[in-house]
This record gives sequence, structure tokens and C-alpha cells, in this order.
Amino acid sequence: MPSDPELLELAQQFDPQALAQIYDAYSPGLYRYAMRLLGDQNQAEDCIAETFSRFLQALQARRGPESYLQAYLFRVAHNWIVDQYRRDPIPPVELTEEYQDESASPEKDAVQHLRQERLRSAIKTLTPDQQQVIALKYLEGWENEDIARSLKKPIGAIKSMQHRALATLQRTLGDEEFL
Amino acid sequence: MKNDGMDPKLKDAFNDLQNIPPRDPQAAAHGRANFLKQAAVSRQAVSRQADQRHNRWNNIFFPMFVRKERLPVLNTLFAVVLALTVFFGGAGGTVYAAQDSLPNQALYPVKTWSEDAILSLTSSIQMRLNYVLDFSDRRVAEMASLLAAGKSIPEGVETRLQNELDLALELATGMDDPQAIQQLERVRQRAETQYQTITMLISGAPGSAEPLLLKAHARLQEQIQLAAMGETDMPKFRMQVQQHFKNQGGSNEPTPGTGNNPQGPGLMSPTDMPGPSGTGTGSGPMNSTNMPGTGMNQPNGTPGQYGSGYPMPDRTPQPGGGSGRMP
Repeated sequence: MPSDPELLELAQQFDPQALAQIYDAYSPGLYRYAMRLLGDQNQAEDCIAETFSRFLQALQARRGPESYLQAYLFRVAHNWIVDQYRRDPIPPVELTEEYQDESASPEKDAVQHLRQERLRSAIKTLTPDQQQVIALKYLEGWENEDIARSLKKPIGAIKSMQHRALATLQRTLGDEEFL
Repeated sequence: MKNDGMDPKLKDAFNDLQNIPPRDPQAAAHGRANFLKQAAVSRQAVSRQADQRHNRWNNIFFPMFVRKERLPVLNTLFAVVLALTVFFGGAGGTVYAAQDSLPNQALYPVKTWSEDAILSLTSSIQMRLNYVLDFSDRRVAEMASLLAAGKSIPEGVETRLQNELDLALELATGMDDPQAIQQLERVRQRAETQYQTITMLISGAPGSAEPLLLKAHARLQEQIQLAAMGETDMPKFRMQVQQHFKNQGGSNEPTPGTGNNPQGPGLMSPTDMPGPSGTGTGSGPMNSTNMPGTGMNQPNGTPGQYGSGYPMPDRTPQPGGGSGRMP
């Protein structure tokens, strides 16, 4: 697969193959990210659609990313998720068939999804930047350097945000006797 | 997952959140198809604006004071609208409003009528080529918009596109060689953009739209090859295009339009097309020995047609080519 700058150069000319490659390369990761933070498949699909739509609009207006496409797309997706947080409460996690595995009992599933729901609610109490730092670092496994690129902030600021966000999460979840 | 001395219980909580259901493949495919359709529409919009980029201020203010060769469609459209407004009151506004309409909308016949009127009122060969290239962009954008909206593409849109592509070649044959070569480069570039858009549309289109898109695709491929031939070998290009007009009777006079037909006035209907014995795209004006990568493979075997029915250029054809008649 071509590098990000090569793909972006082709994408800026609306090359169909490059755009399809970009979608195929980044939509699975964006879906996982949105699902983890939103817990709703329809909302996650909406998030991906809107993220790529904004990407096309940016290309059209000649103000799309010039490099670090992944960082750009996750930033756009996260902005959408934050807007979604503001608009709607997080929907309750349902115990669907996809969640169940054979080794897990319904009780275990229920507990796990209650914990997921509470962690999502706790993440929602963080500032948008803190949310993104925590999600990229602890859910997506990104390095601080990549997170800094996505948020367009220095690494020191990322570390500091991370520290404060973890403290807030522990406090919030501790208060709820979650941990 | 990173640890960084995090509380183990919080770490477990993050691990819980990593457990998500897999993406629904159908939703994923649907999302991908929608993105590609939207990309096709965006691409078309960008290519239409290409001539106007970076000079929007000029486009807004200068035409009021200075006669410019740019913005041909809008200038003539403005004249048409002004004339209509003077004579028929609100009709001019209707024509202007129709410019964004799609083939499944009530104002679309007004749009195609106004395009035909613009071409009929324009005497400059260069301006007419500019118009016809813009109009062909419109056809491709209409196809993309219809598909993006989940609508079917009327056959007349594709036929109209074919006729506009024909007319572009026809107009080029009426120019002198240096100008024709320069303009054929534009014709080719425009066709390449349209070809890529149609390629993108085919990948996400429903099965019912595919034959029509493939037809447009093959015709655009032929357009690219013919224009490229003209850029490198003008006499041969003129001969090929002339031969096509000759084979189909060379009828270039406009015929009255119905007003409701998306093909518009002066365009050939499918029944007017030359038969298989003519020089259709299946046998093609070029053969594989002429240029690398040719091969006029039109999937449906639809014969090509080069008589657009639009009035011919107002210039005397050059020796060895040019099949135009004076309007």
C-alpha cells in the first residue's frame, strides 16, 4: 500500500482507487474506536460515514490533511463522538448475541456490559481532549507521539492530560464502587 | 494495552471495553459504497470548478465591467435568462432555477432546453466546445447524484452524454491544427476525469444501473483514445471522425426537440444510430495497431455515433478533415 503522503496526493485528485484504499485501511479501526466509545453499532456506522464525508469535504475545499491521515481521521471521528455525547446520552448496552460467547454466562455478560457502560459514562465526564487521549492510548494502544499528532499538541501536554484523566476516572469510578 | 502503573482494576475496565462485536459486513459494504458514490459526486464538483478556482473574485466582479472569455455558460445563460425575463417575465428565473435540477425533476427539461439554446445562440467554435465540455460534466454529475440518491439513471442522460462527447470531437475537427491539438488535450483530460468518476460509480452502483454505466464507460474510453490520437496524429484523427460522419449520413442539422425528452433537441435517438455495419465503437475508429492499449470493447456492442445533431462549427473545416456545415 502506498504511504500516507502518496495516498493523500492521489486523494486530493479524487483518485477512486486511492480513496477506496483509504477507506479500506482506516474504516475498521475507526469503527472499533467509535464502538468502544459509543457502544452502539448504528452510531458507530454514522460516525464512520460522517468522518469520511468530512474528509471528502476537506479535500474538495483544498484544506485536507497533508500527512498523518490516521491522526486526522481519528480527530475528525472523535469530534463527531464528542458532539454526539453532547446531543444524546449514551444508549444502554444491550445484551445481543454478538456479545455472548459460549464460555460466558449471561450473568458474566451482564456484569461486563454494566462495567463497559459505566466506564463509557466516566470517560464522558472528561474533557474532549482527555477523552481522546485516554481512548487512543488505552483502547487503541497508540504511542504518545501519535496521539500528540492527532491532537496537534506537544507530547508533554499529552502526558499531563493522560495523568489527570486517569486520576479523574479512578475517582469517578471509585465513587461509584465500580472498581 | 499500555499499563503505565495504572490501577489494575481500571486496566481491567479498559480491557472490558476492548471487547466489541464485529462490524456487520453488510453495513460495512453499504458504508463503503456510499463513500465512493459521494467521492464521485465530489470529484465531479471539483472538476467543474477547476477553471474558476483561485479567481473567484474575478469571476464575481470583473465580468460586470470587462468582457472575458471565461465563464461561458453563465454569460450566455445570463443573456438567455435576461431575454426570457424581458419577454416572458418569470420564465427567466425558471431557467436559472432549473440549472441544478436532476433528470427525475420537473425542471430538468428546462435545463436541457436552455443548454440547447445556449449552443444554438453561440457562434464561436471555441465557446461551443467550452459549453459542451461543461455540459458533459453535468451529465456525469447527474448520474452520480441520481445514484447517490438511490434513483435510477434515465437512458436519455447517457445518450445525451454520448452526443456531447461526439460534438466535442466534431468541434475539434473544425479548428486549425494547433488549436485543435490544444483543445483535444482538454477534451481528453475532461474525458479522463469523467471516466474515473464513472469507474467509481460502477463499483458502488446497483446491478440495474450497470449496463448504462458500462456503456458510458466504454464511450469515454473511446473518447480518451480518439482525443489522444488527435494530439499525436491530427490528419488521422480528422479522417477517423470524418469517416464516422460519412458513414452515418453526416446529418448535423438540429432537429426540433420535444421539450420533455432528456435527450433534448437535435440529438439522435437510439433508433437513429447506425447499424452494426456502421463504424460503431465495437469495431471502432482505431485498431489495436494504432495505439497501445486501444481495443474498443463496448460491452453491449452498441454502435457508436458521431452525428450529434447540434449545429456544426461556424468555421470552414481544414483540409483533410472537418465535417461541419455552416449553421
